[in-house]
Parts: sequence; C-alpha cells; structure tokens
Amino acid sequence: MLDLLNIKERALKVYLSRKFFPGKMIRHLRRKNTKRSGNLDEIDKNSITLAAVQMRADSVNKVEIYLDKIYELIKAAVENKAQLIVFPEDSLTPLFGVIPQIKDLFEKENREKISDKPFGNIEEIISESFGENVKIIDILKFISPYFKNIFLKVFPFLSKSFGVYIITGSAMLETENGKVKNIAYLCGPDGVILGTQEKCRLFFYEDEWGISPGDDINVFSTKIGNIAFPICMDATYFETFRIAYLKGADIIAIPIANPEKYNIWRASRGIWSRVQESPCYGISSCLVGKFMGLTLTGKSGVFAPLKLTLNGDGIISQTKTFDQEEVVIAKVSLPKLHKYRKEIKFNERFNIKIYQKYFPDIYSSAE
Amino acid sequence: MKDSYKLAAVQMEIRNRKYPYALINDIRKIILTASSKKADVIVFPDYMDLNLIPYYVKDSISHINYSVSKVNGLDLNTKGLVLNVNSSVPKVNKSGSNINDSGSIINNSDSNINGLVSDVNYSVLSLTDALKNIFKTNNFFVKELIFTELINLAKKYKIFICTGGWLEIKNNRFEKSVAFISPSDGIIFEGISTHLFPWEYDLNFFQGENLLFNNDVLGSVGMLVGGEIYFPEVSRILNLLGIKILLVSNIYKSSSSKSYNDFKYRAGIWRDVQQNQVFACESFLVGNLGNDKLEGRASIIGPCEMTDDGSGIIAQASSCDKEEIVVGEVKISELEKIRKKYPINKFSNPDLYKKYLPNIYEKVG
Repeated sequence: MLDLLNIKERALKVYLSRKFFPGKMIRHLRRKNTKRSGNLDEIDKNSITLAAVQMRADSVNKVEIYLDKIYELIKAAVENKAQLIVFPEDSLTPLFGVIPQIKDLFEKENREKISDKPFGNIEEIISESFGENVKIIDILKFISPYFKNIFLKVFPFLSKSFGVYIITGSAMLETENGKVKNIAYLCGPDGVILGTQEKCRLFFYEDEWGISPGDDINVFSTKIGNIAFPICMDATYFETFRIAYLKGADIIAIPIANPEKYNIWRASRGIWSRVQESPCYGISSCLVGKFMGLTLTGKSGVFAPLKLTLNGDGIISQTKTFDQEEVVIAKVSLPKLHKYRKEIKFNERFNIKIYQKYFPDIYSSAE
Repeated sequence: MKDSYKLAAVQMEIRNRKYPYALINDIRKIILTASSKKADVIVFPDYMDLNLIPYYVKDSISHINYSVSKVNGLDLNTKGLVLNVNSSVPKVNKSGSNINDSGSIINNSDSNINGLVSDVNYSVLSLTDALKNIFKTNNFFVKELIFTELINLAKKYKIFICTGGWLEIKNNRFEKSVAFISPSDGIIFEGISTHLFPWEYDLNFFQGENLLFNNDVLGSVGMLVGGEIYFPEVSRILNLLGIKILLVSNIYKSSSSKSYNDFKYRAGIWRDVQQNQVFACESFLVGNLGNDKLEGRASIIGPCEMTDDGSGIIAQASSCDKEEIVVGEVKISELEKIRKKYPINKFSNPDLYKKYLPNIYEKVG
C-alpha cells in the first residue's frame, strides 16, 4: 500500500517529467526558427569574442519562461558576435520555481522576508516545509534527472542552433555514484557536449549540505583556444588557475554565484587576481538577485593581465550593475596573450627547485 | 608570544646620496621615526642600492676623473657626482656614461673613455641600464657596511629590521640578498630572491633556493623580495608553513610617462594576503630612473574582512612617490577569528594539488 508521501512524490515525478521533457522543451525552442550565426565560420585568433551572461536568480513558474530567458540572453550575445557564451554558477536556480512545493517557499520568502542570515537559511526552510528528515541534498537528488535535461539537451540544442560555444553555468546534480556535485558543461557549435567541470573547492554551506568536491581541472581544446571553466570558489586560490594555465588554458571561465554584498575589493579577490598570477583571459558570469534568503551579487566581465587591458586595470569589459541582468561582450587576442607571456619570461621564471622542495607534502598541513 | 605587533613599512625615495654614510644616516632617521611610533619591525624596500647611484657612478669613473677635472676645471673627487644638479659640466663614467643637467645618467657608447666629451647629454636610461652600466662594474662592500650598521641600529632601537633587497655580484652574476635582523641576535636569517623580475632574468641573476621565514619571532614571519611577490607559490608555501606576517620588499617599475596605477598595487602582495589570510607589511622604493618611474604605496594589509571598507588595507602611504613611513598595528587573534569564520584552508583541495604540483611545472620550466 502506498503511503501519502509516496503518492505525492510519484505525482511530483510525473509532473516534473512532463515539464522537463526534452522533446517538449526542444519543440518550444524550435518554434523560434533560430538562424545559425556565422560567428565561428572564420576564426581570427586576434579577435575572439567572449560573452559573459549576468543572470538574475528570480524564480519562474514555467519551464518555457526559463527557456525564453536563456534563449534571449544567448541571442543578445550572438548578435554581438560572441563565439563563447558563459552562464553563471547555479544557472538553473530560477527553475526551482517550477516545483510546486519549492515555489511555495519562494512565496513564503517574499511574504516573510526571511532573508538576512549571512549565508541564507535554506536548510531550515526545507526542513520546515518538507519535514525534519528532508535535507537539501535530498531535494537536489530528486530534481537532478529533470534539471540535467536542460544541460544535456537544451543547451547543446541552443549551441548548435546558434553555432557557438556555450558554457552552461553549473548546477548541483547527482552523479553516477550517488554523490551530488556542482557541475558545468561545455557545449560545442555542433551540439556536442565537449566536457564537464566539477567544482573542486566548495563554498562553506555547500560542504554543510553534503555536496562533494570535484577532483580535477580540465582544459578543452577548441577552435577559439584552450578553455577551462572551474567554478566560483575555485577562483579563490591560485592553484586552480596555475594548473589550468600549465595544462595550456588560454581562456578560463568562472561561473559565479556569490552570496554576499557587492564590494569591489572582495570581488577583486577572485578571477581578477587569478589572471594577474597566471596570465590568461578570464570570464566571470554571475548569478545575481535573491534566492531563498541569499542575496547574490557580482559584476560579470572579461579580465586579463593589467598590461593587456586598455586602462591598465585588468578589465577588458564589465557589466555596469552588480544585481541586474546584463550580457557583457569583449574581444581578446590569443597571439597578444602568448606574446605577453613570452615577453615577461613567465615560464622561465618559475623556481621548480623550490616547488619540488615543498610540493606536494606541504599541502598535507592544510588537510 | 605577543598578540599585537606594530609593523612599519618604508616608502623610500631615491635621493642623490654620494656616500654610503649619507644613506646610513637617512636609514637611521627612518628607523628612529619608526621606533618613536613603537614599531616592532621595520621593512625596507627592494633595490636599496639605487639610493647610491651617484656614489657608484663616482666610484666607477674614478680612474678618469682626473681627465674630466682637467678638461672642465673641476675637481670631481671632492665634489663627487651628484644627480639632479644644475651644472653644465658633463661627468663621465668609465663605461662612457655621463650625467646631464637634469641629473639623469645615460649611456653613450660613442663617448671618449678619457672623458673628453662635453657636448653630449647623458642620463640613466632605465633601471636595467643602471644595473648593466653602473652596478655591474662595482664591488658591493656597501652591503656589508650597511648590514653591520643595521645590526647596531636594531640593537639600539630594539626593533626587528628587514633590510630590503641589496645587490651583490658573485661569479660575475647578480644576486639580490635580503636579511632579517633581530635586536638581540643580529641577522637571524638571510638569503637571495627565489623568483626574478623579468629584467633580472634577462641579466642572468642567481635564483635563490630557500624561502626565508621564522616561526618564532613576531608571531611567525616570512620575507618576500621583488619577483617573489608575483609568484603566489611563495606566499602559499609560507602560509602552509604557519607564517602569519609577510614582510615584503617591493619595487614597481613603470613608464615615467604613465600616471600611478593602483591596480598594480592590488596585483601585488594584496592578492596573496587575501588568498592566504595573513598580514603583510609592504615597502616600496620610489623615484625616477630615466624612462622608468618607481612608485607604489607602502602598506600594512590584512584580509578584506579586517577593515570596514573591505579593502583589508590597515594603513597606507598617502602618496605614491614621496618618502613616508607607514605604521600599522596587527593582531594575530583577529586574524584567527577571520580564519575561523572563513576557513579558506579547510576547503582547499589538497588531493587535487598533490596530483599536479610540482610535476606539472616541468612541462614548461
């Protein structure tokens, strides 16, 4: 005999299967009659066009609204000749509004303004609404198969339709071994998923929720250069970018969802600092706005070593706001980057003897 | 061990010091000022030798001074060679360099080695030019002289001293040394820069093989000089060794035609302070060297969370090109609180780094 919870759970599964049915979502997008761009037809390595999408986290109550939203953001980038488009960390966040019980939580949040805890109170809200034994990780596992369809089907469809590279942004998804990880995907212009990246350093509350960290930094060779896309906190420390750089990355994209008030100094601690240390181009794409007690801020942009930027400030292009939806475009030159690295004798100035003396054992003290 | 320390960062202006004792005198005044502000430690900048260019120029042309004196009717041995003097007298060094009216020194390969030139202006073209044509030809007994004096001053004023970077030549190659002096024990550690600036690499400087740190003084200190600041490996290793205060001797070289760029400052030790949650006391040498402008803002820095504006800058020089002594107080207990609240180390991924470091460097090194 099925208990009530089980029936509700099964009903929700059926509901979500329909809402997130790949065929249905693709049909919706197909109706837009997208004209494939020629942005990748001819590659001029002196002028690679990058786009960072700054997206609001506002919940939507229909999948189609989300599809329209990402479609328009991609379209805006493509119309500005973008060849690589990067979405933020937790880019599927608005879709939580499609799930009835979660939608109620959004409404509750708006009604009661339960927002001012430093890193949000999502766990508390979930327990209140779903029962003491239900943790956020259970919710994430439950919705994973449906949310994954967006990354595995929708974004590849869009990258092919527009003929561009897209980094999907990330989401906390269940993996084959039952762990939940924060994962992003790189889709190629032929609609093929070229690779994934798991977040290797967790944010404080992700660890509390039971999310598992990734264990590698991947670099993918594309027509527009070698691309890596670690996630958010990964950009807090030099090692991520150093490994990506030494693996050949030219462009390092960082999907971000930063739950703190915007401050230019604090914001400078991440990708901006990292591209100064490991000379690469950096793209940051931020999720902004409020989500279940969290206030997310950030100024998305394209960054470079100081000497490769017009104003010497390390910023090629950046959004005007830290809390509104925007698409920022920038052109970068790979030969210029490679020339700069050679000019400053960057690789030659490593002191490998010192590194051999301390690495890897020194890291044991951090464990 | 104390919880609170006062750190003094020196923003030192290159002046036309003709003799080492003139420099020692200035250093003494600076230390006295820091001491009067109760500083526990004072940090001098990188490339301290640039304070003695006129002295070295004089030294390097000593064998041709006579002919210059004869030609111009001046006794350079008594007047010395002064930068920034208003004089129509050209003064020549043995490599054919000369000092012009504006006080700069330039290299002129066509000049007569006997100093019989009077119608060509000479100036130091750049820092590299000074290294190649003035310093490369000299003996660096000055470093020993000054270190001895610093040991006395540390004792007298009961202050720890980070000497800043000093040039030496060994086997016809430059190396840049730095030392840490205790008021009671003299030099307690010293070494040479482990990471080079690009121009130092071009000039074939020696690269040191040891990081400089001490866990037992001032709440545990590490020293960084010059190029070390721009390779985050150094600060990371020091952090993981338990170092809480970085003593940083820096120099920023930019074109004299460009205005000060504060982003350069952020791209320096500030980055490492944030990603390691430590304190730093950073000193700069400022002034002009031909086409190169040396600038910076000496600072005491902590993690962003430590200051209301989020910058982490506890104290900072008010200018980027004037001599100043910046003193700031840091508390180890405050640092621990921030580390506890935002435990960066805890969420690192050692297994990932161990997989790649150090082997991956060999791919490019």
